[in-house]
Order: sequence, then structure tokens, then C-alpha cells
Amino acid sequence: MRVSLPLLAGTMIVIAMAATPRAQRGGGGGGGMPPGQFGGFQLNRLEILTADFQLTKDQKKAVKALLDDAHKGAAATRDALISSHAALGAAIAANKGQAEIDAAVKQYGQKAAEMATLEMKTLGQLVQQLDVPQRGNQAAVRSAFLLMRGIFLDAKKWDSVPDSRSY
Amino acid sequence: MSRPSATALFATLVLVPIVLSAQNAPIQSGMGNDDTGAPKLSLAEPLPGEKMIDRLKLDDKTQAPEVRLLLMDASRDAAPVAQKVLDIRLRLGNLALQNNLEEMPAATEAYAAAATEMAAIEARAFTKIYAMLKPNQQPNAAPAFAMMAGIFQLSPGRGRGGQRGGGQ
Repeated sequence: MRVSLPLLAGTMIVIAMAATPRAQRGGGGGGGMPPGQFGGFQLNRLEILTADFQLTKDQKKAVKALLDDAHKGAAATRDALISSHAALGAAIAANKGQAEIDAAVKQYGQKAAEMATLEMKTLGQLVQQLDVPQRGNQAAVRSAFLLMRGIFLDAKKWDSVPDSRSY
Repeated sequence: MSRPSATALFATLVLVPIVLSAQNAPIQSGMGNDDTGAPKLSLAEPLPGEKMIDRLKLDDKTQAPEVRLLLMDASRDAAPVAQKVLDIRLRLGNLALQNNLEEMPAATEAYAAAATEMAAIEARAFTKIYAMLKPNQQPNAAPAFAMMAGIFQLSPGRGRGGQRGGGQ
């Protein structure tokens, strides 16, 4: 049996229609793309802050410098947080008594509070660098608040794609 | 060799692109279509509990289901504490935004108390998990416990992989 020309033409039209949504999704950042993603790439913290607050070039530089310094300054708090958590794990593994485990739990809670305070103080400093209209952008401030959690947990850098690390 | 029928050719030409197209479509649960402020889970990253199960090399049929149940129970106990931690964190954030450094030490102290409660829940859960481990699994306990840090927190950042809700 021979394939007729109208049938082949119809087939090609349907193929084109089936392919169209894929082509439309290829557009970066817009349309159905989730916020914080551009062309399928996930944004790192600085890119998110830049987009959310619409930072100027100078502001972006200042925010980066602030967070670089804060990250350096957070080293001792991070080390203490991680080592206190490890100590708690070691106490459990060594089947230590409840009193010792409670002490390790308390120690870790204090270090967690120090880290949370440091993150929030850094958020305050970051927002202070912005213009009044930017500070009034509640969605962006909320986003920055969420973004600060665990920002200093990575010893190497803060400016990464946020992941599941927590404390 | 027989010629393919027009129907078979049509089906191949039309259905193959449709199936391929569907494979590239984003997986949507229906959640997160609107920005409700709820955390958006990234499908690319396994949940911390699953990462821990992998790290401990737990038996899929016996140990892993038991650990999942245990984590679920602990998660229920942790929910009010997690809310408390988040509330105090918000308070800390607001104080920082107002540059009200005088009231921060009290909020830090409250955070420490709540974080201690949370750590106690994590520790209890891990104690039970550790008791289930076979000797050859125990060396992985330390890195697995590290993965457990903050596992029950209402962490909006967890697993979101840079998908932000703000500024939109």
C-alpha cells in the first residue's frame, strides 16, 4: 500500500504540533520556569539575591564583600557547631550515660543558636546596604531570610546553590 | 519484505514525538503551582532521611522500613519544636532588620533552648537507629549522624536547590 501525500502532510503537521511545547519551554527564565531557575540552571545565593532585590552592579559587589567577610568570620562558629554535633554522635555511639548525652545536646543547641544569630545579624547588615524601596520589597526580604539558613555551613564558600544541609 | 501499512507509519510518526515530548515535560505534583511560601522539594536531591539510610547501608527489606517509621514518629514529635525554632528565628531576623541588638541575646537564648529540645529529639531517634545497626554498619554512624543535623527542622531551604519564591 502506498502512503498518500495528504496523509504524509497531515502527519508532519501533527509532529510539528507535538514538538512545539518543548520548543516553548526552552526559553530561559520565563513562562513555566520555576523562580530561581534560568534555562534549567539553578541559581546560587548571590544570583538569587541579585534577582530578588534587583541589585545594581555596585550593590552586588558590596553584598558579595559583606558575605565574603561574614563567611570568613563564621569559621569558628561553624567549626564549633560541627564538632559539637560530632561529639553528640560520638556520645551516642559510645553508649554514654544520659547525663553526658544531655550535656552534648545542650552544647550543640548553644552552638546552633550562635550560628542562627550570626546568620540573622548578617541578614540585617545586608538589608541595611540596600535602598529604601529594595528594603520595602517584602518578598525579597523573606527570600533573603530563607536563604540565610546554613549559608555558612560550607567551609569553602557561601555562594553556592542552596542545598539540604542544615543544623 | 512487506511494506509497512499507512496506519503503522502514521502511529510511529505521531506517537513517538508525543511520547518523547512527555518525557521532557516537568514532573508536577500540583503543589507549588502558586507561590504559597511552602518549601518546594527538588526531585534531584534525595531526602536527608534517605541519604542517611543509604550512608548506613541499611537492609532495604528489614532495617530501612523500620528507620523510616522511626523517623516519621520522631518527625511528629519534632513538629511543634520545629515551629518554635522557626518562630524564634523570625524574631531574631526581625530584631536584626530593626538593628535592635539589645534584645538579640534574649532571643538567642530562647533559640538555644528550642534548638536543644530539637537536638534531644534527633539524639533519641539516632540512639534507636544506632541500636539497630550491625557491627559492619556502625563505622558509618558518624557521617550518617552528620546528615541528621536539622533533619526535623521546618527548613525552607532544604532541598529547594535554589528555587526561590521571593521577588516574584
